[in-house]
Amino acid sequence: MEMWQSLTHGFSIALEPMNMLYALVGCIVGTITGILPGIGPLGAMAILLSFTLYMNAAGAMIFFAGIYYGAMYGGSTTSILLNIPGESASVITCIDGYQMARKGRGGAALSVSAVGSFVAGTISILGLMLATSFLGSAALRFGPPEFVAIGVCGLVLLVKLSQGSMLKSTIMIFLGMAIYSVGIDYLTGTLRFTLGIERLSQGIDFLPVAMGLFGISEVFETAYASAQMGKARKVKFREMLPTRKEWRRSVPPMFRGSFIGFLIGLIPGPAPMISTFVSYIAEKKISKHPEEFGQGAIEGVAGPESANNAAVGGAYVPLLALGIPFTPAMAMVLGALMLHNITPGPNLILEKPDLFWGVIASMYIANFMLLLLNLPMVNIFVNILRTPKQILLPVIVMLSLVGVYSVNSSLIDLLIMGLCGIIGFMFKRVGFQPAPLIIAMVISPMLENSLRQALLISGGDLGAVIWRPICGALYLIALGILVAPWLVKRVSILANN
Amino acid sequence: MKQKLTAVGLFCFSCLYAAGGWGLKLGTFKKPGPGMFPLLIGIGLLVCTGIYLWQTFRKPEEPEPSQESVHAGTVIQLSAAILVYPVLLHYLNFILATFAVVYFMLLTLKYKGPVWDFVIALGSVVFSFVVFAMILGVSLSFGPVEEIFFRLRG
Repeated sequence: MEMWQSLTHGFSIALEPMNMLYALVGCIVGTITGILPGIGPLGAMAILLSFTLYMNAAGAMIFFAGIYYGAMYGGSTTSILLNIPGESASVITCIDGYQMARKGRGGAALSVSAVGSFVAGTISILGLMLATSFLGSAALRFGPPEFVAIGVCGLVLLVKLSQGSMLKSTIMIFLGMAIYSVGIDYLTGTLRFTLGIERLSQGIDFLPVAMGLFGISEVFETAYASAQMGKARKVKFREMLPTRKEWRRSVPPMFRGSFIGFLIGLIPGPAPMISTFVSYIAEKKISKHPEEFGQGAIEGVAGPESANNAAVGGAYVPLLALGIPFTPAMAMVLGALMLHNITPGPNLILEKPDLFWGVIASMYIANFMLLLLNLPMVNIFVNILRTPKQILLPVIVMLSLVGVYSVNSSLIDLLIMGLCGIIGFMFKRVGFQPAPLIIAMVISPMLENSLRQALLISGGDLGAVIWRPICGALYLIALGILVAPWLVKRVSILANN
Repeated sequence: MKQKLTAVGLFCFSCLYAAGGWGLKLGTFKKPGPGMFPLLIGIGLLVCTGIYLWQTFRKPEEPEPSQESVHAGTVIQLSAAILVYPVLLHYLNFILATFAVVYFMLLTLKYKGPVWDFVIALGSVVFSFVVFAMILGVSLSFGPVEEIFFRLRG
């Protein structure tokens, strides 16, 4: 009952004109970035991170939620109409969505995708409300050892689930930790790795690193790849209505995709993308007509599109309940909160109820806005693809430069952003993904402080830090995740022999 | 070649970082010092980059696409523009420095020729100055040119 009262209060905050405006602008920016290949939601969030300083904390969160959800919607539009995934979570939609468009059912695919995203968004927000309240109150009993264990377990899962090589992901995690360690040690006042540069004593800010690794490096990546945009066929409004049969086939995958997406969103890694793959495979396995998959099966659109939106809601749970971002997008959201001197965690619901419930309520509103916006305006959004990249790239760079400089008026920050952009681009060329680095950079302060506090409290007894019930369980889970594939492989070899 | 260079670069960085971590006060388990966490990171980094170095030099080299150098040139020029920006900003302030960088980028990306690029660069920089500095009140680097805009506003 109390939860519903809080939610009602949240709606009163989310429906304030300024917050509605932030949600609307966020949804439009998100949809555009989802449509444009190369500039994904992460790049957009990184570029606009500094501008959230000029909003209140709730406004910043609402703005970012709009971008994230909008990108999921926008990505599906180009996947279905042009066979171009605007961002990674829409790759799987290309398979059946584009086939439907070729058969003249592109409008129906877009409608199912939009409705599925709305349903999934709503289900995941309900899940987020319940899970965050439960996990938040449980986390109040957590001490420093538990937070160390959560951090370690999260990083292990991240290594395991990140795209590409595990070794490369691990290196990126250690690099992120190394970047965090620059600056003054607040417990002892000792300077670490500052190289005699005064500005570095305050540490390397998250903002220029994130904007460089995600924003500027994506600019380089887009300049490097000479991708040609396709031309989309206009979608007529009457084509957008799915047939009764199409609705009947779409509804169960929407709900299944929502649950799959929400659960996968709780796990570290590129949750929206993984959830679409899992949902697609599940739908194909369950389907009475698996042969239709790849030829334009509507279940292949409804399931994954619902899953990627639900994963967004799921990804908010560890951030809001524990203060730990498990995905790079959530690291950006945390960065926005940190700019407002707010540290999310178990106490967030109690200490900042306006912020928490306002954001939850604004997610509903953002989903509703996207449903109303995207279907009638699909042809306008698709035309954005015609913007020449020669104009787009300098404008993005200019926004990034203005954004980074405006926060601290620091030339060093500009230099760091440029260098991170170059390093991020070079790393991507050799298969290193920047996401683990940025997440490690954000988790590291909690990890170091909790570790040192735990050792101080236990009088230097490492066993007491590790062998507590919750910690032990989390370390065993982490170990199991690392060892399980190897064990399965060994057992199957032995069984074959 | 790129993989090998990256591996060597990362390993060198790890060595330097681990050495730096070693030089800080480590403390004890009872009272951990400022160097304990960096040392743990340094050891982890050293082990991982060591394995990566070993793996990279064991693998046969993969052929690189021939047309890469054309696009790489564009990326190098864009990188140079972004790296030079802080220096330009220090001496020329926001409008001139940003205009120089945006114009150079438009020329590099070969949009519509020098005249059009000039107009686009000037227009976008003035527009961003008006929106961010004059309307939103964002703190940018101001000099004589920016002062003219503020005086025009009155």
